[in-house]
Amino acid sequence: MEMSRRHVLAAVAAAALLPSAAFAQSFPNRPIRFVVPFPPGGSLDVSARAVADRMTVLLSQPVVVENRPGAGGNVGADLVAKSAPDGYTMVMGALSTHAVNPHLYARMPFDPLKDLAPITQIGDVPNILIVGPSVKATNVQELARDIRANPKAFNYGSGGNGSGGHLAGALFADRIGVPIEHIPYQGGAPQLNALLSGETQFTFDNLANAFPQIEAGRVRALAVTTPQRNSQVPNVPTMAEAGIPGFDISTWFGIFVPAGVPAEIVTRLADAAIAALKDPATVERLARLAVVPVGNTPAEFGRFVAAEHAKYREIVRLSGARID
Amino acid sequence: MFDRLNRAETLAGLLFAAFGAAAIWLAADYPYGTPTRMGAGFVPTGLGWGLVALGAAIAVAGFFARDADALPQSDARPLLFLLLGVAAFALLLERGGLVVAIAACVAVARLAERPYRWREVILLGGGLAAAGACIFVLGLGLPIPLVPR
Amino acid sequence: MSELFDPLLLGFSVALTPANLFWCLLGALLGTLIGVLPGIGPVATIAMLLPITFQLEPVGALIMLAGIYYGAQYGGSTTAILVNMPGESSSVVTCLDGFAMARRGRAGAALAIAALASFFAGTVATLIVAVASPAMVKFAMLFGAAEYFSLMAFGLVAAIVLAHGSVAKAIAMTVLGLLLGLCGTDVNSGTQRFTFGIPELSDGIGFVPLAMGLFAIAEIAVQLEKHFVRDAMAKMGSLWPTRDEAREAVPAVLRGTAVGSVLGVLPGGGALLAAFAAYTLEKRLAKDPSRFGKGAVAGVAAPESANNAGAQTSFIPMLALGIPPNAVMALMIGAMAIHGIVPGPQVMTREPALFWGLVASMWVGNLMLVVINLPLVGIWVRLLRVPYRLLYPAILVFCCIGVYALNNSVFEVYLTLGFGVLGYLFVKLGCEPAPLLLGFILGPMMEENLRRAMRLSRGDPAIFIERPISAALLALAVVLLVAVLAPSLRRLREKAFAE
Repeated sequence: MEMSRRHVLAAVAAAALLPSAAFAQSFPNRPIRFVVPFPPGGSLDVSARAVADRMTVLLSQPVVVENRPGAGGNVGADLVAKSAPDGYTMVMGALSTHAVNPHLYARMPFDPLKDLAPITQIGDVPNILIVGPSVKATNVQELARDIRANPKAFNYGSGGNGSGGHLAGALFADRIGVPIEHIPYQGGAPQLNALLSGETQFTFDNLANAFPQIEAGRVRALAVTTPQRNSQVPNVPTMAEAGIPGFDISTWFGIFVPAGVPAEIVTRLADAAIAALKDPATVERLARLAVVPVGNTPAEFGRFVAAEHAKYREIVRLSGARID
Repeated sequence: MFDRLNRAETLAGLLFAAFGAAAIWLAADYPYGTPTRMGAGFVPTGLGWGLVALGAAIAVAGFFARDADALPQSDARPLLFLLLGVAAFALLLERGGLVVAIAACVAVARLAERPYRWREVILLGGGLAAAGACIFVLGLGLPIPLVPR
Repeated sequence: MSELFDPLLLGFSVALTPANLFWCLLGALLGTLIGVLPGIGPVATIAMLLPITFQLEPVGALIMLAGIYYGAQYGGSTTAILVNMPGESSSVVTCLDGFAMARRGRAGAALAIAALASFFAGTVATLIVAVASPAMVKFAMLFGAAEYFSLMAFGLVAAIVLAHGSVAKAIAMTVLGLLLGLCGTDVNSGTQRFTFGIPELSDGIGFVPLAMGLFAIAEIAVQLEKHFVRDAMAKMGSLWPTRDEAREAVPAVLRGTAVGSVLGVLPGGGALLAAFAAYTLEKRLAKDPSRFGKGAVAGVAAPESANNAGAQTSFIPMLALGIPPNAVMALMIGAMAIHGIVPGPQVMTREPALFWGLVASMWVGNLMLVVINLPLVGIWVRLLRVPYRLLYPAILVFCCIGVYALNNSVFEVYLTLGFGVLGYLFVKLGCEPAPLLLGFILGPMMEENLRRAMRLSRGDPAIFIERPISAALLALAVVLLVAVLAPSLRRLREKAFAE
C-alpha cells in the first residue's frame, strides 16, 4: 500500500506539467489511489485488494489500496468526494456510505449521490440469519414464535449502530411485530463471539463471517436475506421462502470516483474494473470471501445506488438508529 | 498563602479538578440516558465529577500539609525549543518536504541545549535528513514527500 | 505422547523447508524493524503485504505475516528501554523499569533480559497453542460483557499499583486517562464526544501521539533541563545480566508467561492487559516494591514475557474458532480465505500441514529473533554513548516521522506537541503518566461493556455479581484496591491533620 503512494506523489508533480487534453488519452499515466473507508481485514477490504491487484495489470499502473476508516466509512468517502475529479482517486463505496449513512447521520460531510459518481458494483455479500447454540428453533417461523412467547429472552447482536446487521434485525423485529433488544458490538468478530457464547441469541451476519461457524456446526443458519438462495449454503432458504417476504438486505460495495471525472476516464476505469471481475482467478478469490461478483455498467450501478438510498430511508427509521 | 498554593500537590489537584470540570461542561451537551440505557453523557459526566472530587481532595491535602515539596525549579527554555522544533517539522513537512522539515526541526530543537555549534548542527541535520529519507521513504516506502512539490 | 509428537514433527518438517525458513526470517526481520521504529505497526505492514501473498504458498504467506506480528513485539521493547519511547501500547510497561535500568547503566542487561524473557514466553505459549487451544477457547467463551467490565475494573486498580508515588494522584491520572479515552465516536449511540468538531478526532485520540508526547518529548525536556550527567548510561558495565539479576528475573518470567498466556486469549487488548497485570503481580509479590519504577529487573522480565506470551496465544481464537481477536488476526483470516482455507476448527484436521507448520514456525521465528536480537544488544547500547546533544534531536525526528506516518496526518504531530506540554507539566507536578495510559486504553472498552451488560440485564446491576467470574474479578479488584489504599489513606489523614 505505502510503497506506491510515494509514486503517487512523484507522479502528481509530473502530471501537473502535462496539458490536460493529452491527459485523458494517456490515462492512467501514474498510480491510482483506491481508498477503502474501512479498517484492513474483512471481506470488503480483501476484495478491494484482489480487484486492485488485477486492475493494476489491466491499467499498467499500480492501483494502490489505502485504508481511511472512520465514521462508518464517511471519513474515507468524504476524502475522495473532495479530491480532484481526475480519475486518480477512487473509493470503495458501500451500503453504509451510500444508502444507510445519509439517513443515519445527523450531519453528512458530503452527498453520496451528488458528490460521487458510480463506476461499477464489485459485489454483494449476502446476510444470513444465524442462531446460537442455545436457541432451539430450526426455522424462521419457530424462531418468531419463540420470540413472541418470551421476547425478554432474546437479544440480537450486530457489528454496530446502523450496521447492516442492526438494520436487518430491526426490520425482522418489525415484521414479526415484537420489539427485540439490540446489542451493538465493535465489528463482526466480537458479535459472532457473543453469539457463540450465548450472550446474544441470533444475528444477521454477512455470509463470509458466518460461514466457518455454520460449516463447523456451531451456529444454525435459518435463512439468507437475498432474493435467491446462495450457492455456498444451498440448503438454507431465503427469507421469502421462510415466510417473510420483501426482506432483501445484503451488503454491497463498488467503486466510486469524485463527481465530474471526464466520461472517457470513467469508461476506462469501468472497463478495467469489469474486466477484473471477469478474470477467473479474481472471481475465485472473491467467491472464497463469500462475495458474489457483479460488475455492472456505471449507469446500472447508479440506478441501483439511487434505489438503495431510497429504500433504506424507511429501514433506518424503523431501527431507530441515529448518529449525531 | 502563595507558598502553599505553589506546591506540586496543590497545583496537580487544581489541574485535575479543571480537567474534570471541563469534562462535565462538555458532556452536558450529550444525552444522559438512564442507568439501563446510558446515554453518551452518562459515563463522562460521572468520571468528570469523580475527577473534580479527587482533584479537590488532592489540592486541599496538599494545601494543608505541613511539609509538602515546593514546585521544583523549572527552566522552560529546553521545552520551548523542543516544541518549536516539532512545530517546525509539522509546518514544513507537507509544504517543504521531509528533508527540509527534518533539517528545520533539528536546527530549532538543537537550541534547547548548549553548546550550539553550527557545523555540528548542520552535519546532524543533514545526516538525520538523509537517514530519514532512506529508511522511511526509500526503504519502507511511506508516502511522505521528500522534496517540495 | 505421540499425539503431540507426530503433529509437531509434521509441523517442523513444514517450517524447516528452506522456503518457509526464508519467509519466517523475512517476517521476523521486518517485524523487528517496524517494532523499533515508532508509529508504523504490524497492521499497516501486513495490509500492505497482503496482495503479495496471493502469489505465495498459503503456508509461507501465513508464516511470514505471523513473523511480522511477533517480531514487532521484540522490536518494540528496544526503544522503550533505550530512550523511553513506547513504540507500541504493550511496551509502555517496559518503559517504566526498562528505561530506569538503562539510566543506571544496565541497558544491556535490560535488553538481554527482555529478549530472553520473550523467547522463553514464546516457547511456552507456542506449546500451549499446540496442545491447549480447545481448552483455552472454552475459557475465552466464558467471558461476556459483565466479565469484561470486571476484568477492566481489575485492570484499572492495577493501574494504580503501577505508580510509585502518591496513590491519590495515580487514581486521578487513571480517571483522566479514562476521559481522554472517551474522545471520539461513541460505539453505543454514535454521538461524537470531546471532538470539538475536528474530523481527525472522530475516531478518538491516537495512542501513539499520546504516548510519544507524555513519554518521549516530556522526558527529553526534563533531561535537557537537568543538564543530566549521562555518565551512568554511557558507562555500561557488563552487557549481560549479573547472577543476581538473573535470579530475580527467572520467577518473574515464569509468572509473566502464565499471566500472558491466559489473558492473551481474550479478544481486544488481552496481550496489553497481560503486560500490566504481570507487572502488578510482581510489584505486589516483591519484597521491596519501592524498587519498582527505579529499575527493578522483575519489572522488565514480567511484562516482556507476558506480552510475548499473549501475542502468541492470541492466535488461538483465530486458529481454533476462526474469529479474529484483533486487527492483525483479521488480516490473517483474510489471507487464509483468499487461499481457499476456511478458518476455524476444521483447519487443524483438514489442513494439518498448514496448522502445525504455522505453530512450529512460531517457535522457529522466536528462536531466530533471540539469535538476531542478542548480538544487537551491544550495538544498541553503544548508541547511548552518543552525546545527548546529538541523540535527542534524532529521537525527536524519529518521533515526528512515526507519528505522521500513522495516518499521514500533520494534525497528529500537533497533538503530540500538546501532549508533550501536558507530559512536562505532569513531571513537574509529580504525576506519573503510566496509569493515565492504561486508563486511556481501558476506558472505552470498559464503558462499552458496562453499557452492554446493563442492556443485556435490562438494567439490573446484579449481573456483575451473579456471574461467578465477574464476581470473582470484582472481588479481586476490591481486595487489591484496599491493599493499595489502606497505607496511603492513613498517611493522607496524618498529613491533613498534622496542622
